[in-house]
Amino acid sequence: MSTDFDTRLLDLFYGELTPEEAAAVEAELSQDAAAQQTVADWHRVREAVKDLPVPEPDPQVHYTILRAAREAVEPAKPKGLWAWLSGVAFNPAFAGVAVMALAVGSVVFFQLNDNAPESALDKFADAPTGASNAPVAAGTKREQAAKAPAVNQDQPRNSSIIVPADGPAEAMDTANRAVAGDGDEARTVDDYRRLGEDGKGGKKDLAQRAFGGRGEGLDQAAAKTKGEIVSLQVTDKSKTASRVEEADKRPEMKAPVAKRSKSKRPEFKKGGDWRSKDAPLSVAKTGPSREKALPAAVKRDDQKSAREPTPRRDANVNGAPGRASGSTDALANRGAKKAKLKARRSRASAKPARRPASAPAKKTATPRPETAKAQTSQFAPPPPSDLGRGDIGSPDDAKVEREAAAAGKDGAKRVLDGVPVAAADMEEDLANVVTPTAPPAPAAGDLLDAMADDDSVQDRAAVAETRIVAKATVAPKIVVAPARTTMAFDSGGAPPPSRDGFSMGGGVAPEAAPAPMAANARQPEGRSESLKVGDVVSAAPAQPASERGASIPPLLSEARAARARGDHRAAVGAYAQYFQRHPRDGQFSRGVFEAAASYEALGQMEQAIRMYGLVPSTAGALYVRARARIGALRTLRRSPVEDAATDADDEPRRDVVDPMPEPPNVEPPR
Amino acid sequence: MLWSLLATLVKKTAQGSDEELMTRYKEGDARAFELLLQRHEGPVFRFIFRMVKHRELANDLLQETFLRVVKNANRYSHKAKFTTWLYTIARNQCIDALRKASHRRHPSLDQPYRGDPEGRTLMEKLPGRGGDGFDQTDAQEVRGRIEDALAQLSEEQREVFVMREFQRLKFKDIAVVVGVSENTIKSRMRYALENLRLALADYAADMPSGADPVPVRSRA
Repeated sequence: MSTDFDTRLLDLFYGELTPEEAAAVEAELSQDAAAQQTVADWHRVREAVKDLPVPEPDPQVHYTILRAAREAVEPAKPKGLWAWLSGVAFNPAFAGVAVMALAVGSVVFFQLNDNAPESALDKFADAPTGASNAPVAAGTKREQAAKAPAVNQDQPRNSSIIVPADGPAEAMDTANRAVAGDGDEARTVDDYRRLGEDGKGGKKDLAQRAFGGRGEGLDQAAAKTKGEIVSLQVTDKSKTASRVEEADKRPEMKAPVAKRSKSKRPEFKKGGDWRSKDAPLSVAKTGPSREKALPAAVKRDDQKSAREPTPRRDANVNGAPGRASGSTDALANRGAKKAKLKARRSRASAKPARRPASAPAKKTATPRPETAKAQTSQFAPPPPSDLGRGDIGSPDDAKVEREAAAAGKDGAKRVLDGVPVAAADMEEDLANVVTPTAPPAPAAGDLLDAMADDDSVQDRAAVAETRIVAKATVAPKIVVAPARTTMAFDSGGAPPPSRDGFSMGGGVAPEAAPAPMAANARQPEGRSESLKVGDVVSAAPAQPASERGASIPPLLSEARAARARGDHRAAVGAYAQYFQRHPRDGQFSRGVFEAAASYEALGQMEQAIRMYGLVPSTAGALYVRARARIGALRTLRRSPVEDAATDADDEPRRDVVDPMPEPPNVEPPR
Repeated sequence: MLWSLLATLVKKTAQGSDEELMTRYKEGDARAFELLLQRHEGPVFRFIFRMVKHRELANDLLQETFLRVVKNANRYSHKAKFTTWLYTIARNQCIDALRKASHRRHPSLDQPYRGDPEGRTLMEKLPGRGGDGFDQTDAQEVRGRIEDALAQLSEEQREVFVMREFQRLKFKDIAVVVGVSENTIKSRMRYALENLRLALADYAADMPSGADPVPVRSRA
């Protein structure tokens, strides 16, 4: 078989010959058995290969190729501002910066919130005259309303009065009185103060006076159900009649009221057609009397107002129909919210113009520093007579306030019952201004409770014995005295033995002025070679520059000196003494923080957390740091400090990193 | 079969030839390239896979091949046949890859047969097969043997055989792709068929015995 024939045979096999050439090759093939066998073998190979699986490419490759092909032919998109912003926004560095900004903003926000009472006071002092400033003797309330700025009278009052069904007329009467539409109930703060001054300031009497009288300004929208209890929605009078009529025409309007009343209210007997003004007003025989029903209704109303958000009442100023429910608690709650809101507004508006500490306050008729001090100290709550009043109210008013406060729990708030809204709000604002909304500073009792588990603090007597009373202005200088190999310092006298066997003091050289320093200065015997007898060492406690000129309680100085030496156990004891004896000290918050830091250094994490938690939020940056430490301590299941405490309990922990090595120079505003 | 070929032909005619599509793609029509990819993606992949015998590597080479097409689209001339141009690129990719992994090109018969759980060598697996008909397991084994037989072919014979048998390229086009004469291609094809016949001789009942196998490497 020649090569040429083989080539043509291959072309015949794969069909690459023309029909004429194929016919010629087939004729030659039919006469050649070997060629036939070769073609048969090729067919077998082809049949065998035909069964091979057909692999498919990865689909991902397909899309990759297509994307590359599209990008190659499409024009490049110009990079615009959006592309740049996208690149920046998805940059991890940008995310970090954003988180930092958010954190700083949050800290600043909360710090500003902590100063709310003072700002609210300023705002109130600068505020234009309110109802209590305005003379209220002239004219009735209706006349005042005419003079007052426009108010939203369409806004329904959030006042509901439970009316006995069998005494609808009585309920109407009650509502009428509550709405205070008559002339003689245009009483303001001064009126009720006078009432209280007359010795008629009992709660019941005051409430009756506040709600007494029936006026023409009654606004009520009530739907009568078949019986039972109805809820009077006190609204503008001009719309009451139309609403009642509409409610009669549309039963779906009154159905929910009936259902709700039926399920929650106690049942009373039915009465006449109480909706009619001409109907005779009568008290149900079986129902509660007016004197009993009214406080109950007011109480329920207070509960309801406490549950439900109260609509904005700013429009109800000066002469608008008075509110029907005016219990002391509800007033206080709403007043607190309002005062807080005002304080925030005042901060927002007057933040750049904050007065410096030395600038005289505007319109401050109250010794504010004393008040502020009394507020921030939780140990001695300020008496009601010290409440800042500004230029609102007369001396007589203050007298009424004091008497009312002395009368009972409600105090001055009792006088506010039934007072027209604007005046009451002003009073509430005052009451809230002088009542700090910030979390109170820790009480000494709390601190001592927090430190109660500490053995070193329990040994307070020993610590107290070792305390050195000295002037803080004297430069601290310590002369090491021979007391075994232990350094200890005292102003003199026999040092009491400490728990751990170390001497509590060997005496201070007579020429050395006693400095505020920790007494329980332990020095292990193995480490005393660095100090010799007679060496003078500095024991100046870490102290902010702003405090160096001020008088520091010796106990605090002592505690700080112990901290500076690393003797945190003694420091904790001294802090406990300090908390007990100087609960109103200006550095109380810092002391709490330092005590917590000492606990942390001692490895007593639980107590450290508790102490950090007692740092008041008014401490500013210190509070923030305390919260950070709490978070860190809670995160760490077992910190290196704790390990060190476990390994060598009696060893002084000089290697422990003090969480507060240097106190800040600026004391946060209290 | 005939219907599918006819449908493919009609479709190709309706969509345009490869050269027309390539021209359209050069003019910015990405859809034309998508059609080209749909036509040639599978065959080129199978060619590459038969050459390199590695799926992942075949995927990479397929991607690289078409990316080169995209990259060099402006250099493509309508006068050249797109298929030969495409397979030339694919073949060059395969040659480069096989050069990098030259130790895999000629598996020894004494090496353990890949995929064999018993660790038998390829030499041990070749004989000892009766002709009692094929079941499913036998078919898989036959496919394995065919794959091995293809792998034992030289590169020149294998690429010609694959392009002719699987890709159905004409000898003329294969010659263009490979860059040798058409007679050389046909000669390599003959030797490839003869070696495959010998490798699969045990499985053919009517296979002539005592046939002298063609020394592949010496005569290729």
